[in-house]
Amino acid sequence: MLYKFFLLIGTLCLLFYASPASAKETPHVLIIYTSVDEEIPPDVLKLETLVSRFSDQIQVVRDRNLESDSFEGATHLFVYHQQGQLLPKAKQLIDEQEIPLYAIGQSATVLQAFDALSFKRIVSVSHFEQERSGKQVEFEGNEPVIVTTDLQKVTPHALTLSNQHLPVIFSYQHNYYAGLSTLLNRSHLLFSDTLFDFFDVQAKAEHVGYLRLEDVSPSADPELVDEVGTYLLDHHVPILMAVVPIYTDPETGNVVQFSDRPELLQVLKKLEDRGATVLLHGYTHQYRSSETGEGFEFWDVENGQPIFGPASEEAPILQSKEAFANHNDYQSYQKEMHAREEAYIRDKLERGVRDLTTLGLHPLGFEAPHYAMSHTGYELTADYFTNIFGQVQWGQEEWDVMTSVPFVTNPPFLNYMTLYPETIGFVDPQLSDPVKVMEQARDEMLLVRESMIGAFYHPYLGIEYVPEIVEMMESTPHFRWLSLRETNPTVTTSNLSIRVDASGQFIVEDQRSVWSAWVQRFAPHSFLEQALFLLAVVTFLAVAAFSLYTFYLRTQRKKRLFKERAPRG
Amino acid sequence: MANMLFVFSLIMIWTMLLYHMFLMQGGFWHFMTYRKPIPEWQKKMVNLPKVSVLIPAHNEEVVVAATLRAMSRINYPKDRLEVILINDNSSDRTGEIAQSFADDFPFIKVVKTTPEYAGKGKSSALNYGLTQSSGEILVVYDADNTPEKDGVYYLVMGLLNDPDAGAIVGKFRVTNAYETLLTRLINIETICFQWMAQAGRWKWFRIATIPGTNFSIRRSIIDELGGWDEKALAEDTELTIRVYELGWHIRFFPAAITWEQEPQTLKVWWKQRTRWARGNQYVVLKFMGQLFELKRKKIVFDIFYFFFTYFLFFFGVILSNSLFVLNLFFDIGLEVGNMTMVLWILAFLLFVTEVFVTLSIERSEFNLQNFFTVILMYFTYSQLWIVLVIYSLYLEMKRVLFNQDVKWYKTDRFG
Repeated sequence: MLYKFFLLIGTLCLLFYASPASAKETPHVLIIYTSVDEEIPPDVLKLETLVSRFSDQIQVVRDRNLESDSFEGATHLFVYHQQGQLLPKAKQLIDEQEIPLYAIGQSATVLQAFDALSFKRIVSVSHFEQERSGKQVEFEGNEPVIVTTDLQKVTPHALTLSNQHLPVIFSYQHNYYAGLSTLLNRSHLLFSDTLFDFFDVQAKAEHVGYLRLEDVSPSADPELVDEVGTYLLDHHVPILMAVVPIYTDPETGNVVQFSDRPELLQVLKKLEDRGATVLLHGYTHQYRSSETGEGFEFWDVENGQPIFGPASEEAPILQSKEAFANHNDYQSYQKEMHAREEAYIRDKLERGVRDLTTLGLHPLGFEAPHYAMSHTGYELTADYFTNIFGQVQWGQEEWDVMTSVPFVTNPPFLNYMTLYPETIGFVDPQLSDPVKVMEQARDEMLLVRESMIGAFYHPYLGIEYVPEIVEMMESTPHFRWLSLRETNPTVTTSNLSIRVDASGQFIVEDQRSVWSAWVQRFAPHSFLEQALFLLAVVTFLAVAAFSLYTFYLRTQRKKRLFKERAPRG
Repeated sequence: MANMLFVFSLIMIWTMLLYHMFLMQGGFWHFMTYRKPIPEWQKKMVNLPKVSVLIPAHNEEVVVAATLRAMSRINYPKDRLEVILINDNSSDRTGEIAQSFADDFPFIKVVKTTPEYAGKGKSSALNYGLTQSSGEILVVYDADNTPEKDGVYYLVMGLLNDPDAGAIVGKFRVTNAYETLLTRLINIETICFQWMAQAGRWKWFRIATIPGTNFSIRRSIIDELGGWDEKALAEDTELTIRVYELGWHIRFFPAAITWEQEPQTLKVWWKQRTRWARGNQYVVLKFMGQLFELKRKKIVFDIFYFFFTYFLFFFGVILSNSLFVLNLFFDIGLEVGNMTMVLWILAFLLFVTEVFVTLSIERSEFNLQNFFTVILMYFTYSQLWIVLVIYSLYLEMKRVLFNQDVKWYKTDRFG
């Protein structure tokens, strides 16, 4: 009898196990792109990021590498065609597919799926209408677009509002097309929204938002941080605090740590106790002689390249492939530089988490200074954090190819960290009505279902704008504040980990000994401090030795008395 | 800017402190080992050479009797010993008192400087004494010295057993150590000087400085050098350098002990120390110019040490103090971290423990009274040195600018 019981249980388990999977299968997405470069273009990375909201099975292939088996298992197809020509072989392979296709850029004019339609190019457009909401929007700047003139044959999702109302994003049969020239402009919001339709996903009817207190470094004014933080927590805003553990004075090069500012540290601890969540915002938020909060830390802006080592070392200029005699040399060079970059980044992240944890704070996410970071940096960050905040540096060579995505994603090139985008900017006190500007950005975000309303605020501005921001953000329809602690975030370094249990308590597993934690807390940072520390240790040893000698000589007093009395030694 | 200066002063000061820390270690080591070879060395003490003890004296009536009494007890074969008291231009009873000793002890003689040597200072007096002496080995004592009876014996023992030594320097102790607070401080200072500067340098670098008294030197060297430099204020430092230049070294042998009197009043102390400081500054400036021509790199190092003491270290201290004071009244952007506070405390402890080691070496000196004196010393006596260096630099500058003559000031004695 017993075996029948187990069989039954087993069958039931199988059923339950199988049922969610059969309800809706994860789409397998193939993104095909054209490019003149070897590297994946920023636009394509952004596309991949947007798609990662809908699938964690994404394959990105350049047209020239496309084979028939690339399509194996694919349920959805994207063709991103801006630069160059789509290779005939690739076109043929794409044309043979029957899975849903989303074409972007010039591809529609080439692909068989859209043969029946006629297209035209409009050189500059800034006004659009979103069909789903009926909203009309004007984005900053003009851009060229491709539209179809066959209005009646397609289902439009977005129209241009220049001379004619023509579909720039539409579906045709089971395929989609977006005639945008880039996804890095604001118009990508219109595209992003259509992904819910393309993947046939029911969006959650809510907009999650966050407000981040930015650049909280040891130079911050504790009163202002306290004032702003307390106000927000009093108003049930579960704020995030982007904390920088080390402040570097640009003029003197001196460093200040939170341990030097006990009052400020108390404020941060108090706010964290009340529900604020700490993010690590770099280790020093500066490089070379720049000021903390001003400088970049994970991107060498001067040389337009990643950072390969501490600022005290002369930054090596990254050599291009042409500088090498053969491919092997280039590869080994790349490997070396990669190793150096990795060492630098790991050191910063390890120290950052370690220092904050030692101080009794609990960083649960990461935000790169100025959002700038090399792609290697993003990948490594994922070893430590499950969350990353802000915009994304899409460019591998230029830091300012940087934009936001509208909703929460888990991009493969960020090693599947959860990306909480900052989407509506910050209070710029130089503007006459900065909150109004943020509100306009917020309104644009509402074009996208499930869009995140992410903002940040510099606490040194005091409380002035805070009530207005909160009111504006909370006026968003179906709005909810992000509660990061409930998303099961974890932070892991080589010897400690932080997570949050079901009751919201931090669980810190610190494998560092008490001694090493103490050492790390008080360990000197700058060269000068290290030198002084060494000096102190040496002096201390000498003092100890001399005390010992004195003691020894004293115990020998009587003995010596007789020795010295003996004539001539 | 302020921080840069601060770091600079920190480097200047700590270079000096670290160096002394190092010397102290050597000094302690020397104390633990210097007696070991004595039994072996005694075997060579046969066929002893003739020794001339030179004692320059200018108006020394207060102390000369005690000095010669000590000389009369010198434990050395009297047929190989002559003690020459060089009466240099005394207007008091020095000659008279000395003569009474000469009458009693055949190996003691009194000579009076002839006009070409008279009244020109210690170097000149010694040069005259040289002409009147016949020993292969010269031993020099100041007129206020009371050497222990084996002093000369050990000074000779060093020379006989160390063929590379041009001179042997003994240890001096203070007779009036417990007379006044000042002498107590000086006593501590001299003990430190011997066990750190002398013993430490000897142990590590085979360098010692001739201190002007209680040393033996081979006559051949003095002859080769043409006597003492009459222009030098600190004829001892000057002589030291020249001995090294000839390729000899100077051994510090603390078995040879003399006792001497130290100034009991601040005024006398001030004059004596000004003379030393000026003398050493003179030497530094004289040899800095020809620093790289000096053959013995060891001594270059030693001159550099003087340069550090009288110029760089001094400058560092002044700078650091000025910054500290300025910082009290103005915000000069000085960010003195906790570490510098820790270092300051360590510097103080270093000073105290170093002094304690040297005091415990002199068996009876590490007592409760001195314990507190040392702590007081750091804040008082040690700081006086700053004022002294400023003053002597001022005098030395004045001398160079106005081309003044150097005048030997004789230290006043106390009865």
